[in-house]
Amino acid sequence: MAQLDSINVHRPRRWDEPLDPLMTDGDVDWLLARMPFAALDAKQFPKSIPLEGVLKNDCRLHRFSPGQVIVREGDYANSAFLVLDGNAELVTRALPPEQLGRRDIEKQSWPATLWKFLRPSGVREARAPHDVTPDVEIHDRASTEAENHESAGDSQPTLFLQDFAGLVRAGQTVRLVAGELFGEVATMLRGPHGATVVAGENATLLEIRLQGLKMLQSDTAFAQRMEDHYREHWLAIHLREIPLLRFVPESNLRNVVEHTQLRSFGRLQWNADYAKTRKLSPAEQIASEPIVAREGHQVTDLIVVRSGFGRVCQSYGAAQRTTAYLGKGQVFGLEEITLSIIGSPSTSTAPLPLQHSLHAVGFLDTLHIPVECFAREVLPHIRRSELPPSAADAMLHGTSTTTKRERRGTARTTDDPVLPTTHKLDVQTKTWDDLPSPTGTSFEPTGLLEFIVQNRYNNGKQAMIIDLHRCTRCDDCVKACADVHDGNPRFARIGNHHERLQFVQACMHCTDPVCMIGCPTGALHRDEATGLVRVSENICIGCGVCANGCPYDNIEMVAVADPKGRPYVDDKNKPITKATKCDMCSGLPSGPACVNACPHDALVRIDLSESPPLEDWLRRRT
Amino acid sequence: MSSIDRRSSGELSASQKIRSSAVQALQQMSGGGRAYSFRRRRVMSMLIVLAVLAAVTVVAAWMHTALLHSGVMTGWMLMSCLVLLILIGVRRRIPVLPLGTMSTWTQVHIYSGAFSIGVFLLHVPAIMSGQFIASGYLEGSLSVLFWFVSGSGVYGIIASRRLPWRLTQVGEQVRMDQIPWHREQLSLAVTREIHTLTNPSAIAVIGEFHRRYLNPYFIRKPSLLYLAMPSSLRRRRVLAGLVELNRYLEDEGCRASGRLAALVRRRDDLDYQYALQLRLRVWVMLHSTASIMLVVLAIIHGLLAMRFVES
Repeated sequence: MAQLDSINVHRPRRWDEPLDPLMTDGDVDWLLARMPFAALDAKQFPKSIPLEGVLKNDCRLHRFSPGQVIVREGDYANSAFLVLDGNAELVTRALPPEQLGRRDIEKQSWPATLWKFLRPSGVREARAPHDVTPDVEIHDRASTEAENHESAGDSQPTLFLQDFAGLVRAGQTVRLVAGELFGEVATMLRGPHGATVVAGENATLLEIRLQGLKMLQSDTAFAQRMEDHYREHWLAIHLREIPLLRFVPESNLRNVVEHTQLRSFGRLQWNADYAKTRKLSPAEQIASEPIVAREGHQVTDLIVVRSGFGRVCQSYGAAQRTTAYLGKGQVFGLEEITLSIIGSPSTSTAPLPLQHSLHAVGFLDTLHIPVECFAREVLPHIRRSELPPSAADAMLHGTSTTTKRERRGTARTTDDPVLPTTHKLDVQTKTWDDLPSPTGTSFEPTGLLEFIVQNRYNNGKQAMIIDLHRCTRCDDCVKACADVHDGNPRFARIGNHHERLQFVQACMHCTDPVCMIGCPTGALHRDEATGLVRVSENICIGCGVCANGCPYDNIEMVAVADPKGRPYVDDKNKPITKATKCDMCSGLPSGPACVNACPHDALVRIDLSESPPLEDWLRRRT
Repeated sequence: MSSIDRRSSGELSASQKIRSSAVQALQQMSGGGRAYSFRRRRVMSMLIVLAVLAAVTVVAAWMHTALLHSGVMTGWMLMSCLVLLILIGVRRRIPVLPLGTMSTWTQVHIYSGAFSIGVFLLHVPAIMSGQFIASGYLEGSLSVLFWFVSGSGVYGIIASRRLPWRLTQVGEQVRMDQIPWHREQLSLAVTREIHTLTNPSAIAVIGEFHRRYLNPYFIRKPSLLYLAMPSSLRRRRVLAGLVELNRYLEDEGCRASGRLAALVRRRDDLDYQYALQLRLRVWVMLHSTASIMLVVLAIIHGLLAMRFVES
């Protein structure tokens, strides 16, 4: 066989593209002389990724002008910020969207909507000028910081907060001084910033991107400092948000905070592997996922999902089958722990081992509350109705501390929210309907669950599903979408299907919107009131990071034109592009046009982050 | 068994058994006790239509005995129903206003249609004596149109429930507007397959088969007969022909023949999808066009009838 010629190429390396090419060795030395970097132990960093390298390549020095917005509330975080010099002000009250450079979408009136509908522009992706350029004061950060250097990648628009001095005078800000870190929790959890932070006098900050932040945690002291900071400021808030812990007294919660362990599994950038892993068979996918807790092992902690997704599996024959999936705020191991503590009549006094395994799907961030701590501080304050049925039953009939008063209380707690736990599918009555049908007319729960998890559709808060057994393929949904968006449909009736369900390629307004991760301007943001992921087109710079980042290909970049059809171009004659996607018709008085337009009840926008909505919807289809 | 014995044994009496089984059957039929299912919605809507029709029948009978014009009442009712039925088309074309979901409008449309058939029977009592089409050009056309619209409506309900199911069973879910492109791609794939043949016997045998049968099959659009009544006849004949070729082919040719057979199946699936999707669209077009004509004729008929009644 003839030997093929090889081509020598440069192997891509971690720091081929530093966060800031302008960082010099002098800057790094200056940083290393300051706290907290002066206290870091360089030996704890791997040789291939030294501390100096992290500072030079994963960090960026910023000098902000007073009143300049550093991070905006609601923007999804990519980086944490360390105050090096001067100060920054954390705004303690929510600011109006217009003040933060976002234009709030108001519901249009009936006449205005009808007038717009009857007079379409007839131009593909037509935009008014005020939708193309921002109406806030925009400066080029790169030009203000390094006027002599040209760097296309740094041309990020910045925003100045109006009446910043007034906010400070009114005491509506908290001062962050040199040495304080902010934005690290949002960055690590890939959540939105909880508050807006504005630069004060002589503010010099170090931006540390996620990758660098993770590396800095190699230093145990730095990791401990970050964990302490989280434990001190955020953990109690996060625990309080868990429905199960809402009646736990403050003193008990402090003990829980003290004993809770923080753990992470899988890869944070799960969308990078998504295309590959979704092609694996369910068995291969389950085998490839990091195990958080293993079936049959003794239960040691109550596991609370802080972010990401977990797959609950149970051994079946020679393989594992999916019985549920967990999302943010859901718990694992509650039934086993409760039965072990109370003592199940069937298991006598022996502790009950875990009945399921928990796997990390992509990325999973968890809180682990030790069993002893849970039994002492939390369990006495959980209502029986919130426990899994078997545990509630054991509590009622067992030898433990049930009182008449508690028993009376069970009738009153019927309105309490049903807490998601892992036991539900175990007690589910098995019927013939559960078996796979050769005609595809029924839903085999495991198959559907595995399909949803495999394709990560459980990330969707407003997933579009079409029942193919009722869809006449009339495309009225797409036409309605086009009609309400000036002739530009925001989805096409395509997508994967499982049996009779088609999961349409339309923005799902995800629980974990990975599309937002790289947005340099915060144009892609989550609406606080509705939870929808929206694009503020006036500040979208058309970089396409969101479109590339969306693992479901639900964002499209389009070149925009004015209502007369003249394309908008920049000073280099390049077309202005904007990110477009489904907006759930949030500006219309009618709500999502696609759902309203379906004459056969075939289309639904549904929350797939938990299974009951889908189960209910399927149950109605008889 | 005495009632005391029954009470102590917990056994039900005959009347209790009948009542409980009737309640159980009704619950099962209507889907009661569960989430508001489609079945329950169907049963409840049908019961309401039947109850209202019964009430209208009683009123019409009373008017008839009182020597009043019951035809005027049923006529106005029919006209109102027709206007309501046709409004769904208006709603469909205005998606921007909160006028209720199309699903609700469809339900109202279906059961108003069923109600209007009942009212039509009351309006034209001659139908009961077997005269389905009225005499006279206007009334005759009107009754023909009414029956056509009603019949196409009933067909529509059945088709919109059965055809999606059939479409889902067959191959990929392809959008109708993309089917011509997919057909072209399949035709190109077949040509590529033929061009990759290297074995002389395969080139001769499959090449001739391609020229005579495969090429016309892939290039031509499906016939009108196929579109009206799609069947697997064409596919089976072409596949049988390909199978027949195998005895003249080497291994490579047999494999190529197998790949061509897969393409034939895909093309047939596409044509099937096209035929069924076209049928659904043609049905909507015919039903809506006939409905508009029916309303126009009904207005003319109403105007003439009112002049007669007033005179």
